[in-house]
Amino acid sequence: MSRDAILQAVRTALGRKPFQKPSAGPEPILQVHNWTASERVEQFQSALVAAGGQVSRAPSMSHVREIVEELVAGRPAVASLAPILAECGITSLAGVQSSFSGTEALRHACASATVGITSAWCLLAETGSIVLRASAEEPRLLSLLPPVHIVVVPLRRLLENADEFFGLLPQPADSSSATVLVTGPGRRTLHVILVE
Amino acid sequence: MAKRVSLFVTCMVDQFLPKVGLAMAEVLERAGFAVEFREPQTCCGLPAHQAGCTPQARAVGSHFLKTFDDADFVVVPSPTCAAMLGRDLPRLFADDPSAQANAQTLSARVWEFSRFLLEVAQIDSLGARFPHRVTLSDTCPAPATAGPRKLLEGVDGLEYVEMTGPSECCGFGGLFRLQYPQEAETMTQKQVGRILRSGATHVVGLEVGCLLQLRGAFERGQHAVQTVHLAEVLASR
Amino acid sequence: MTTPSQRMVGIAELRERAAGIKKHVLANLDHYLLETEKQVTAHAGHVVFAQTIDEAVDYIRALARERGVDHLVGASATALADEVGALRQEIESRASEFGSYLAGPAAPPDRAASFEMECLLEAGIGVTGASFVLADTGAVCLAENDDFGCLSSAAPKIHVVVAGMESILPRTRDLAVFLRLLSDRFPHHISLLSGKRRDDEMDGPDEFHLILLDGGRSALLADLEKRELLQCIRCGACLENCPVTPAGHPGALTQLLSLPPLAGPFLAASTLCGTCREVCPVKIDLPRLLVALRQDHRLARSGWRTWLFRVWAFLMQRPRLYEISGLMIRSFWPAAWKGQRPATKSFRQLWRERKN
Repeated sequence: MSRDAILQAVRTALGRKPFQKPSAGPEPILQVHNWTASERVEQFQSALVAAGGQVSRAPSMSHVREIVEELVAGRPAVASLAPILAECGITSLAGVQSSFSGTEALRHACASATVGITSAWCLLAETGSIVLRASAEEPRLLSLLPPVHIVVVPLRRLLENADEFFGLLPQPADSSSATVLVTGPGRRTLHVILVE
Repeated sequence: MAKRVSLFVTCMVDQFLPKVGLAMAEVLERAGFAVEFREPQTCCGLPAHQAGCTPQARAVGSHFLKTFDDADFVVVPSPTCAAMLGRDLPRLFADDPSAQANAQTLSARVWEFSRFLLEVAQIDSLGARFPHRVTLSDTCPAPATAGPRKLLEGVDGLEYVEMTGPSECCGFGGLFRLQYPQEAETMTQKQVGRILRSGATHVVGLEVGCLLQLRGAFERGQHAVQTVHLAEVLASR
Repeated sequence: MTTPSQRMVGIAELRERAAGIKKHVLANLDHYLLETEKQVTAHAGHVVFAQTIDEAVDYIRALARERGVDHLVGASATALADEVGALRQEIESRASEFGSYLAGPAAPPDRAASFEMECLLEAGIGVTGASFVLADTGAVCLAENDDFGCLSSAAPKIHVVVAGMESILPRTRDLAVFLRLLSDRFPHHISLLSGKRRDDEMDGPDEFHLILLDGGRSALLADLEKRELLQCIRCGACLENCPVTPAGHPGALTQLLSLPPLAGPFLAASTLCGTCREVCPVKIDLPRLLVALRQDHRLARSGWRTWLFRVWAFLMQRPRLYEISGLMIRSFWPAAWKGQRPATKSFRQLWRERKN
């Protein structure tokens, strides 16, 4: 059996016995800058723009709908079930589909949509990143398939950096099968709307 | 009584740029040391070691150990040869503990020339005069170091300019430039460009191989820049 | 849980810590392999150990047959050529019997990226590599410059990961150190994938398979001198900064970092300048290892270099012969090599004259 052969080869190479406890190992170094809230916003905006993304600030939820409507510009769009999207009135926009009968329907809708609208679990100021976690409300493909991605996030979810995020990450990662840190638009268009 | 230092000039200095060895001897004498040159010396073994020919590197290294067996200080005008003798040579005797111990004892007494001046002789100025605009080409396995720059500071009339990327490889690499001449030429030309942009009239180095490589490139390109070893600068009056 | 530290440390300290974490994993690899297996299984994933890439291919082929899958899609997460690239070649070469293809590039970051939507949606299995495997949660981390790996893991019903067994890290939060060191730019896409979709999730794979690949790693682990090579996180910094090889061209580093390391023609394509060592996030002494590989190569076969250095060593131990050879070389130096011409008189000649 390959499993046993490999484990045996490894133990022999290391001179370790089966079930031997590991030696003590070094801890990682997690670093934060301790920025103020406004420093974080400023840093996030400049980092995201430098990475090729776009940022808008909405003073309140009612402004979000306008911004999104303009960005969508009547093109086929899919949206997640994140509560903030419903609260901002995005899911009721014409041409925006947010309920799907099943996985197949979801895949098909995402593949043919031009715009995907989601929220985010949090944002990382230092690198201008968005953090997406798969959940009942946030399917994975919404943020992956459509060529335009709009993200609506309340400012209180703006963390400093990946170090802070990893320090906070619930362990074990039982609650979600996928957590993704996206930095910059890549091959697509990325627009983040920060909501006060 | 003056302390005695033994010169290990290196095969490159011996055959290609002997004036570097003479300059080094003069500087050491001026610094108050009695200088000796042991005739049986040949090479440190680095070319064989780098090529992976360990038995040959060991054999030549053993000859070095025999030649300098009782020397208190062995001074070397090359950081790579000094590193070979100081760091790599003992490791080649890993399977022979007594030979390794012997190698380690001697290797602790091997000093690269600029480090010897700063750390053993503890002088950074020798009344040298070199009224030219000079840039330093660092030896690439060692990133940009303060030592040679400090020594150049103490030279009267010398105007120092830093080139960009002083410790980037010049393309010499021993056998490398013979096996990969195009790649070596690309790397050399990059350094030539950096030196020319620095505005220096002289490029100072610590490695004869690198200086020869650059000299060849300057001559072919008909540039007026001169190559010179640190020892020659410090010996100038 | 570690609370974030207050101080900002420099790159040197981060590299030291990263190297320390990797060394620790390697020194206890059997423990971490078992922990990973335990955690993946606890999240209803399957763990398979493969001794060779062929075994991994066979596993994927059997899986596809069992599930009635005709099409695969796949992407590599790392800059260096790795197993997923090799996997692609293997599968493509058997395409007729398998009826499958691998789409999406294992491309270097500078090449324009494209992905065929149809391939993705038709595929029944998505195959990816992994930048890291996290032992505490059984999750895999894909750090990419595009998002093809993530797509390959999200759309198809089955996700298969082929990961080198040295890519394990003890804890998810260890990523904080390595992500900072991965490149000048923070990776565009970092996916933490921990198995099949949860019951309430609308999409994601129904099955998750992790193939932990030996592929020469246990042999390298046993080689105390070369074990350090397993610290490599495939970030590509050494390749990007090597002054000898323009980006993308094979050279000494490509051979050194293959698993197992290849003693091949490009070993001599290095001046040992040490730039790779200076930029390596996990402080691997690559020049030293390259010399070690050259040593192995010499022992394996006597080429012209061995003979050259035998003659050379003979001369170098005999000062009189050395001096005579020097004299002859200087007298008969080819005019074509004028740039590196030797001196008219050797140092020892001049020294003797000086004394008289």
